[in-house]
Amino acid sequence: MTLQLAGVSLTYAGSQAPALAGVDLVFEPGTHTAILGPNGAGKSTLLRVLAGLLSCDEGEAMLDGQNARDWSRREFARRVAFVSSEEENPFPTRVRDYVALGRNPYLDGWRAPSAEDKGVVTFALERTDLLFLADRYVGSLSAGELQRARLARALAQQPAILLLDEPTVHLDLGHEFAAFEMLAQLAGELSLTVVSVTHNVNMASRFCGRVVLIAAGRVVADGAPEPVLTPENLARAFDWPLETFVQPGLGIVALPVSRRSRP
Amino acid sequence: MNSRKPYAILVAFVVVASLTGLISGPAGLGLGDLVAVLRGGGDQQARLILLEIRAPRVVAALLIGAALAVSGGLFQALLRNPLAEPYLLGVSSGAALGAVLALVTGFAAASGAMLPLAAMVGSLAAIGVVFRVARVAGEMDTRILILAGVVTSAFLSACITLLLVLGPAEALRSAYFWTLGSLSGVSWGMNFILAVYSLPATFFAFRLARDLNALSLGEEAASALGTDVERAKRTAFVIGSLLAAVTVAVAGIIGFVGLVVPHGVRLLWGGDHRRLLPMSFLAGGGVLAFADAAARGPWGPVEIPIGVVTALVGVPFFLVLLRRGTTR
Amino acid sequence: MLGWVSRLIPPAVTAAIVVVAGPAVLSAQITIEDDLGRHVVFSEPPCRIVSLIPAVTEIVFALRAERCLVGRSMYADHPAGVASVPDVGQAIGADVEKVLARRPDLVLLIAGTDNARTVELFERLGIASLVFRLNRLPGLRDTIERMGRVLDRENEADSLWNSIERQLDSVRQRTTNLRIPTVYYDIAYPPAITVGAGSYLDSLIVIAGGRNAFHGVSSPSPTVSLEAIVLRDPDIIVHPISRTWRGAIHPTKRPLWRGLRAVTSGHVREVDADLLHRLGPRIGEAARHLAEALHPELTGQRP
Repeated sequence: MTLQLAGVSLTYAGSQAPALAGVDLVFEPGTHTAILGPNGAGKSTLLRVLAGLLSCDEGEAMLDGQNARDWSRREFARRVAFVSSEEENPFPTRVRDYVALGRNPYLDGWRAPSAEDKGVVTFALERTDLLFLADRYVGSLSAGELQRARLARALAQQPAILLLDEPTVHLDLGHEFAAFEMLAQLAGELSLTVVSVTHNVNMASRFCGRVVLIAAGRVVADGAPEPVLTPENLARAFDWPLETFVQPGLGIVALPVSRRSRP
Repeated sequence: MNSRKPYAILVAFVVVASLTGLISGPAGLGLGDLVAVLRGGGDQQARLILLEIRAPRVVAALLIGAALAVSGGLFQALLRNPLAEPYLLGVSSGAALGAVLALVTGFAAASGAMLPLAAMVGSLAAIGVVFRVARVAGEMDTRILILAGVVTSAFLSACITLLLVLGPAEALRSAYFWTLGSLSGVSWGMNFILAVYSLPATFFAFRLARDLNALSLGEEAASALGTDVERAKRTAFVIGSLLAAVTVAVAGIIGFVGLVVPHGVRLLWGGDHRRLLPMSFLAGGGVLAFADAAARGPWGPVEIPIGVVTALVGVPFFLVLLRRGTTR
Repeated sequence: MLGWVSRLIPPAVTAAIVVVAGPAVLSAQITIEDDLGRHVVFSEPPCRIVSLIPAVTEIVFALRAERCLVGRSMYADHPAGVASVPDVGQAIGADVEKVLARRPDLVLLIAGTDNARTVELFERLGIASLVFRLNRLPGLRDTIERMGRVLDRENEADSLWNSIERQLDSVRQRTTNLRIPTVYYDIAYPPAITVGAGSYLDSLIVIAGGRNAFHGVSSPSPTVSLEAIVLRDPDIIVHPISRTWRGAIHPTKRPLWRGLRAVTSGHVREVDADLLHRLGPRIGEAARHLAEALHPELTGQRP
């Protein structure tokens, strides 16, 4: 189950500059890739093209060699799960039913969920440590718990590929770390391919085997964290001077420097 | 309020409403007469009133109330707005224009079926226009949908007013009463047509439930969960409009049922459409059967338009429900 | 001595004239109270009258005072001579400018909330107006009497009313010994609107030898349910047909009315709405027309 972008270009209507320009990326099974870049670089756009939610002007996104937009949404959703950081408030619903929405691609209008479906939901709740909250209403969850609930819902889709758009944006230090740790664990355990869009350089360097740096719709650097997350690459991408520090076992930390102190 | 067997409560509600409808009316016929007639006896007048006048009205009230409630539920899901109701997108003003045209030009006199037919054609035409306007780049934009519906309705209302001002006074009177909604004169034949149109449509609406649940998360999340969003929106729109149009054709404009019933069901038993839609079906039918009974009640020979009853009763009841139910 | 007598003659003659003619001059003042309780005083009979009530237009013609008519509503269609009277448009919510263009000294309007503003407007403009209600038979007699006084045609007014009364009596007599059918008067549908005790049509039905199925309802034109009609089981349904409004659905074409005894036994009688729905000088003729519809044997047909 390979997901890839081939020569993808996309310009939003009414804007001058392209959101994505000539992007070629292949995501091998079982890898955890972080997509990093400044605001407006095209990270979210890239993820949505991968998820088949956006169509591009040139090139294509392909799942197993077939254009993402040619897949039926149901079939695609059984293989690829997409979690965004923002969502509309659903009607009041219990956590268990919320996560059970992840079984939609396997159920049709009438059929009641089978024992197997219910088992998958329980499994997802377990792995995201939400079982004790299963009967609570989604509206009463904290931001972190809600984010985990979304992840559980994605897991309930039993996907081979997980696409996450800023999955930790609402989380504090501790919860963010816990989330990345859980992702890495699940990815290893279930052999998932994970692609996360994130702003967090440190988390990316610690948990992701591959980092893709994007700026202005183009890939600036692509590879293992160390060679990619250099001060030069980062400064070019973020258009801001940065210093990096590498701590063995604690990953890379990037610190911005005041512009005035540099000539 | 949880699953305290809501279906049992609703079915009982429908049964009580139906019986109330059968024994309400100026003729003073009660349960005893009803039983006698059902057994094949009873005098001619009682048979005529119960079997040809009251019974069809009760059945029509059940079918129409159900159709309006399901339609309201569909539009509330489609537009992701709990204030949406079946007439929002031009169904009522289109139907009214068709009916008024038929009245003013005298076509309505040709046969008893002309008025409903004209109303149906009018509402379908209006819906078609709104649908077309809201299609942006091949997709249905739900924000434009609301605007298009409101604007179209306003335009059609102006046309209607113009026709009535320039036309004969008798047309004005008939048109006014038609807009208030009435189940009088409903025959078994019309019930058959109602059932043929609304029951299959309702069946398809129920099947849409899971997609509607996903849609409440937003179009992007729904698509990510495997819903064909455009098809789901289109289906909800078409079925919702068809249900509303056929009820307007038969009974004129009956307000509040399509808004209040699904919302009330949601407040009481949650918004999962797999339950919301069937429960609204039952609740809507019962509510309208009660309203029709009240319209024909012991007020002597004079009949109150049913739209007035649904508004007078529906609004306070809904306010009570709102105050009780917003704790989740 | 003849000198001071001759000086007395002019004042004496003047006094005589005043004494004799005075009352005549004073009584030339006409005071009319209309149906809104308003009192209008005329120093002499008005002769530029705009009548916005078709029935009263007919009364003016019947009193042979049509030369005093300078304007009529668009609905006035009787008698034939009315066509040469200028048409000023709407009867309710009148086009005041059109009315004013006729320079009237009297405007006649029908009572009703929609006319309240028009009446006020005429008052502000200082134009005399009379408002008539005309919904019961006694109202017709009062209106004819008052119009007789306004137009200084009191004798003609008396004989007009007498002639109407004779016609009505004649109808009463002809139907006295006939069977009295229960009548449903089908004013409109949908919704089903009929006449109640508050309408002159109810009285007309009685004069024509019938009984109004909804006599028990006091309102002039109540909306009733089909069930209520079935309950009263009318013998005859009277369906008025108008020249100007062809959009009414015939009772036999209405979905559930087929179950009514009056329909199944073929007792749906069509009548001339234009004649019956105007409470005016031809009401006697209207009564006879209705009687013939209720009792076909009067014209030699089978009942």
